[in-house]
Amino acid sequence: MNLFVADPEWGWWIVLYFFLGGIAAGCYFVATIVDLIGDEGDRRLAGIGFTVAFPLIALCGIFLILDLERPERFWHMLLQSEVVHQALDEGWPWSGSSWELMVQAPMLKHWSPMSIGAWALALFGVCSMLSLVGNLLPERRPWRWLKKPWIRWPFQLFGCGVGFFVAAYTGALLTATNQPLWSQSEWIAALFLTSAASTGLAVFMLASGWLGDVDDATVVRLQRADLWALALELIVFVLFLASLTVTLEPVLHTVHGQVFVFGTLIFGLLLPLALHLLPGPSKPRATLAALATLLGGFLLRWGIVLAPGELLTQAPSLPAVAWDESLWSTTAGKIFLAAAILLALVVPLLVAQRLQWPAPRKWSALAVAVAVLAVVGFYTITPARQLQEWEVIGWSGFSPEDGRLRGGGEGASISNRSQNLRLRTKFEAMTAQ
Amino acid sequence: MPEPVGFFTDTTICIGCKACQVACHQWNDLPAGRGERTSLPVLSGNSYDNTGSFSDVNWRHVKFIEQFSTDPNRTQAAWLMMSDVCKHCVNAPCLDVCPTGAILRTEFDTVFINEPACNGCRDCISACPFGVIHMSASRHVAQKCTFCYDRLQKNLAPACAQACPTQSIRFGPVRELKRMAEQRLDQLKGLNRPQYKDAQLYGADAKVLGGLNSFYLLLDKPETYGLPEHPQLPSRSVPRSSLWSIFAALMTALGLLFAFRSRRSRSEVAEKPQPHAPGGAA
Repeated sequence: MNLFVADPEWGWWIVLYFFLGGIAAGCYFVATIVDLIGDEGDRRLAGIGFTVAFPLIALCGIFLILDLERPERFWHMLLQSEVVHQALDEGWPWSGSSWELMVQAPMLKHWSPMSIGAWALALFGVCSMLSLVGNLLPERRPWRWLKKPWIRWPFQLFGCGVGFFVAAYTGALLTATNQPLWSQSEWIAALFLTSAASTGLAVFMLASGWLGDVDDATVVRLQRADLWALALELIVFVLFLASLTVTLEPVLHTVHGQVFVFGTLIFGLLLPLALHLLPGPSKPRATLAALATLLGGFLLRWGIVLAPGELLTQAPSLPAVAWDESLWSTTAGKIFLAAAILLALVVPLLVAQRLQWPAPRKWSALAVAVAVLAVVGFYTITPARQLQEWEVIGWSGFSPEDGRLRGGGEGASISNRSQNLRLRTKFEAMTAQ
Repeated sequence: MPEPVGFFTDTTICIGCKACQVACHQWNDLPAGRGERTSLPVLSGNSYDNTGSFSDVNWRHVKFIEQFSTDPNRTQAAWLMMSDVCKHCVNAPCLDVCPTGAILRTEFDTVFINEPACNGCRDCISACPFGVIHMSASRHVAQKCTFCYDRLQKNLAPACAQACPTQSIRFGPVRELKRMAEQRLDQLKGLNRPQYKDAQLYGADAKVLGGLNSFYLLLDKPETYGLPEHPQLPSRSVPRSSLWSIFAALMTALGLLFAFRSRRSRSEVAEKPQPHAPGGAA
């Protein structure tokens, strides 16, 4: 755990973006599935999913721009500012050479989550807007062709893809840093994605409660879907905690750490799971589960985004991290492992029975439990230093900066390079004298 | 192309005078840090180091590692001094993540923030393992040591190295600096003194981020100086994060397809004893 870093001070705007962006992606995804295989009763809900997704993601865009120190330069993430300025200097759009520059202007670093995420967010905004308009004005001429199956399904599946990308890249963005907690686990992206699915389903369950005339069969299907999504999220959550290894203990010494570990576990996972496991369809239960899931999803983002700042300020009073030890050697680790074994034995079995899983349920549940515990066991008994060294070896060559040799050229800074940098320098003042 | 240049900072001869910090402030027109209530810089009160840490105006920072004995009167004291600066990493995490392309690799192999391109997203701050980069409170862009890029272009040494009175900060082509550093390390080891037994180079070889163009001779392990042992290049985690996410997305999709297939849930409702009441919000 590197406590020598500076805090990027990503605060409320980012927390809200991660939370609402996840909901938008989850809603779009569920709406597409419902639209694809649901019956008439379910399709009304699909409309709600599309109606919610676009306003939320538009709001997210605004939050992200407000979070920038220079909001007016938000477009620098999509276009190479130096190239655009050069094209403007050459008289764009009235000169041919300026157009040559302008077509090269898009800015994309596929190895940088924030760079590729900016594009995914823009694409998802467009997809969700088209889906919303197509849903509101199904008979109007330009939108009618959106309803043609050969356009609609590829388009909506593409939208789901970028939507899920938006949900997941936010986690990958946190891992692709050197901050304590964030850079420790490669599971944050998958965790945010599964949480996006469960919070998206929560919005559907709330909507089915409010709408009134949604039939019980739809509520049952939503509950079944949510049961699956929550079980999956619980598995990823446990893997995420295991992957923190010896840093789990200092994380649990912070308020934010306690909130996202216990808050998410209780409100976001165990409570809604328990509510769904009770037999029969029930709208009040689904509504309660939805509210708990939303609270848990919010606490997850809030805790994870803000915990490194607290870790950095609390650094002197945190328990020392023994890198040569494993998670198993700590008290928190022993409690965690016991809880993980209990959950792995109970939850998959109950979920399989409630979902009326077609394969032999006991064996399926046992297979899931063994697979999860194998990964958890690996993280729990391997010394942290060993894990860290493997991570550093990791997957190299994904970025041009990786493996770059001294004096080896521009590396990851291949784009947005200007011939004449406007340097701040004293030489100008000196020559002026 | 000019040869890669760097700093070799020999912490064994640093006297903590902070002349490098002053020179940096002066050349780069950086304001002095001010107290909240006074217009003057304040004393930190918990250390002889009154500039504390890197900041938007402290692109260099001389660290005082103050090691006092644990007896009540703190009768024994030892100082380690280290003039810290941006490492201009050969594989630079900040440059790796920068989504606007504002962070550039110069022809001198140094890392430079092109201010007009920066939009203040602060991804570089979270990427830097050394806590070097900070947001400028007045300019609202990310700021750090420029390696005096303007001076390099005119064949001048960076202001800090020029000002250092003990030659603790050496500037030059990295190839020569490395030879110099190895000779100095051999010399210290040859003295067989207890204070030099842990002497080591940090960042001279490719182990830390492919090498650091600003590297150090330390008298203790890197952590003692606030230098991380295993900094990582951020993009390395991206393929694995993606892999798990794709797996999770497929599992979610499978589960939802299973849950929403119509037939079975219809039958589950039909099993209920009471008839279905339309319009009831339960």
